Amino acid sequence: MAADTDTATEPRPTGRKIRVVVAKPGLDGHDRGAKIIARALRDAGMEVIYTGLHQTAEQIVETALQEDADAVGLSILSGAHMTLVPKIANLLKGEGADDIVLVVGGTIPEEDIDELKELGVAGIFTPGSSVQEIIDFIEKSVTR
Amino acid sequence: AYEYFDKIDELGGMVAAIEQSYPQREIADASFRYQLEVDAGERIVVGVNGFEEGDDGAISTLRIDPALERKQLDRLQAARGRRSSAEVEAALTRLREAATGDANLMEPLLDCARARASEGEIVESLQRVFGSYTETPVF
Repeated sequence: MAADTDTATEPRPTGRKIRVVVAKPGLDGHDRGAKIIARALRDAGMEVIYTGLHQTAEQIVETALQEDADAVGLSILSGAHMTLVPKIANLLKGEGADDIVLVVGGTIPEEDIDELKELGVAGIFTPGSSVQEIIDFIEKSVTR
Repeated sequence: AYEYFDKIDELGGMVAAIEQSYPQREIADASFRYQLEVDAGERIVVGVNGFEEGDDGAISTLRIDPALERKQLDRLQAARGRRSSAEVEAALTRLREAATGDANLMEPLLDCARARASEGEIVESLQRVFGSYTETPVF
């Protein structure tokens, strides 16, 4: 991987670090990817809050609000994304927090991508996505 | 491997090592290095970043009917309606008593199952005695 210049965050106008909640909703115990992303985002200069496993939709949204998150990343490898993501997206909307950039990673079938985007998911990162792609996407998507 | 065994011994054994997040950190570090190698093309995963064969075509995925959740909840309610709450309570109490001591939990667990205690009720009873593990995430 090229040197730190690739991953360094450009200083934002407010000088504030991008705050990202990386979450594992539901019963899915596969946390390898979520931890890798959490670390990569942290190394790129973001403030990362990793929720740990077995979070409910309500817990994730509460964490996002309490932590004043700019973005929430959901890691889902259980196949339950079409149940979990709508719940979380709707709760965020209900809290007036749909300016939070919502991204989803994991084993998401292609045919679900459009519907997830309609629910307000800004980016979907399926297997094969690089950490740099995800860093770049969050950096350009967060406008708060 | 022997280096790891020695290190873990130094930390006081595997349970102590886990409590200190040692294996978790090793796993997180190793997986992070691995991912950077894949992203940089230094490590090839056949079919992902090397020797790709082009479009895989549509993969048929299993869809779970959302109605199944409702059906299972109904079955649970029905089972609760058919059982004796007194027997369930008694079995769970005996389970908790056994868990507080050194007794083998197998018989009490079987009794709970025979009384039709739910898995959630059994787990909750054990949690009351043992507490619940919360991960201190290391990444």
